[in-house]
Amino acid sequence: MILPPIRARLAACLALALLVASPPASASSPAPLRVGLTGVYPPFNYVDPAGELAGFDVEIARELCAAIERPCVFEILQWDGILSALLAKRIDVVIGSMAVTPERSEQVRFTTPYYESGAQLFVMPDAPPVDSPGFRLGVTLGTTYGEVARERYPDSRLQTYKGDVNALQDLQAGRLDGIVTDRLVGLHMNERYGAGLELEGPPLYREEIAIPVHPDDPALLQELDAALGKLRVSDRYQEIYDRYFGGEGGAPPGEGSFSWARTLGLLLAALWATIRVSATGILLGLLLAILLAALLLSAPATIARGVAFYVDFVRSTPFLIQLFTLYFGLPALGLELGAWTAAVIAIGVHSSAYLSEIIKVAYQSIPVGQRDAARTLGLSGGEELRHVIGPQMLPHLTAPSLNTLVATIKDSAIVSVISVHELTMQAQQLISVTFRPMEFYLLTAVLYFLITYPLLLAGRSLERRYRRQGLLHAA
Amino acid sequence: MLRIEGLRVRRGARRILDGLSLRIGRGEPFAILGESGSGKTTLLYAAAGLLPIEGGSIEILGEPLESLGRRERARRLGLVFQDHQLFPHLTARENVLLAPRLQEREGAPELARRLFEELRIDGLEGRRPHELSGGQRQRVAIARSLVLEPALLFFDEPSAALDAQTSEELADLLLHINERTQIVVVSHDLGFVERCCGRGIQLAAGTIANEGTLAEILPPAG
Repeated sequence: MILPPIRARLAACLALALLVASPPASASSPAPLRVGLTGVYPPFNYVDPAGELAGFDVEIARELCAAIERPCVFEILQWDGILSALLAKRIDVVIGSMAVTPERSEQVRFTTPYYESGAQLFVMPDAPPVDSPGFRLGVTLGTTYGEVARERYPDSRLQTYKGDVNALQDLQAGRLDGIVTDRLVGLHMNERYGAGLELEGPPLYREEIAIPVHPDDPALLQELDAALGKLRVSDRYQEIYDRYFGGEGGAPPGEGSFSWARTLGLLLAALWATIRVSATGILLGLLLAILLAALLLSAPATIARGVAFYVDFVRSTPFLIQLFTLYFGLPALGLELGAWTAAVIAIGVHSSAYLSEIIKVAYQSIPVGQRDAARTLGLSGGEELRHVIGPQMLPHLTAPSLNTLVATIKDSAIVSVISVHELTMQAQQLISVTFRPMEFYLLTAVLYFLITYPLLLAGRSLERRYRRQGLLHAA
Repeated sequence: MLRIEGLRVRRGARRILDGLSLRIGRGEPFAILGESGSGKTTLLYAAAGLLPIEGGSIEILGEPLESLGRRERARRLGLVFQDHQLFPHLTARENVLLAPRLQEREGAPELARRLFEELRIDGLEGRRPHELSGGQRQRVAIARSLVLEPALLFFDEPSAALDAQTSEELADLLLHINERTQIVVVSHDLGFVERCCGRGIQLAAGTIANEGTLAEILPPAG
């Protein structure tokens, strides 16, 4: 039941990876323009409750794509990895409200700005004065606001966030006194969610928002500059701008249509993606683990020591780093993996380290005498493994493997950072437009629980049964 | 039936057997006696092909042990382990029939049925090892070896965990089995050996200290 769609998906991923890796085929079918953005920065770019990308950046991107006659393909990425993705040529441009800075300009080439904005300090009504020591100030990781805030408010305690929505959640929860963010974003939040933020002083600085392009691609830069020059003086640009910011943060169109039924459908579809990425990953992990365990148990000592070190290394390093190495690191070596493929491989590698250890321990828990008995009865090595050792390993494998599966499903939330669209990412997107963190994080937790808890129960019940059958002894 | 010449076996850095020679022909049950550490279990395991040998030769029914595959060995020589080593995931009957089933031996189910009766463990066929007493487990292990009809059957310390009465019954049973299969018993239980066996050797420090009838090798009573 599960296998065909996974296989289809993997095949699609491979096909996509090949497609992306190959140069543009011909002039008659233009290569899509891969546009990176976070999708959690309303009203500039976000995913609306219907699951569609929307926002000012998105509309500008669509206009530009039309002008240069290339179809737009949007890639949702985390902000702090977005320039790495551009430099790794996983995307062609970032149209996600990126400010031009000297540091960034050393790495990438920027187009002319497509809008100007500014950093603004917002505070909660009951906040202490901003220059008081220990003022809790939130900024988004990787944005220009952090440096400005540190310089301007040296006595404040700076906290960095993955996105403005997370920072706003902490403001609401009373964990922050203020936030430095885009002036328009802050006003938009007040208008739309009644965040109750107060503007504190004039804008800290003005900044120019432009589109970064890989330095190897001057042709694209030129094309975009030409298209932007025309767009900015057009009525179309003014129309889009007014729709979003005409009333200083007035609600953009199409956001009012929130429905629980549709939202739940989105979450369930994302849960299915979580199950698929976890199941495919752990299946790969199991195959790898059998190989690793066989090497640990029967390879020559030097090889076995090397394998043991590898297993320890994988177990001793963060899953997130392994994932980033595969996704952002490998392109530097010329090997580009799709997000789904990278996630499946990372889960496979990570879980195989744990599973191989479980298999090894299960094998070693079978007394040597059992193998002696099988041999004196004339069983071959294969018969011994299949009829004597294997069935006795099973009780030792079941519960720990199910625990690893549960851990894997939970860890799969991390793959959202490389833009795999699964449950956690879906929840974050919904929160970024609805601003209902409590409801959606709780609901998401319940959805995870609904698939992990039965696995835990099954593990315990199997363990009890094996104990009753005398096949498993108390540890 | 069993012919051992100049057998040398090491376990780790220690040489346990150093040039041991022994012949066991068809006859009364044969006992291998000795204190613990004298090398008797090592001799048994080496003869069963479970330990690598450093030197010397082992022949069973005229064939060198190393020239025999696992199946041929099993047909010539069975071993009942001290702790029985029944397969815990299988019932008594499945334990007995696993090897004959894999080796496609005809008539094994019928033979197994008769063995369960003969060994007075009929009615226990469907039980798992952990549902059996020590004595019952031993009899299932004996049936598991006998169903392959080996020419020789080795026992490692068969009376170790048995009370006096069960031990006597077992000695009588071995005498009975010896009518069709040559029994070789490794033991340090002199009382048990006296009852079951007619001849044997006494091992000490890896060499044969005494050889002959039990009367000849056992120390005088009292």
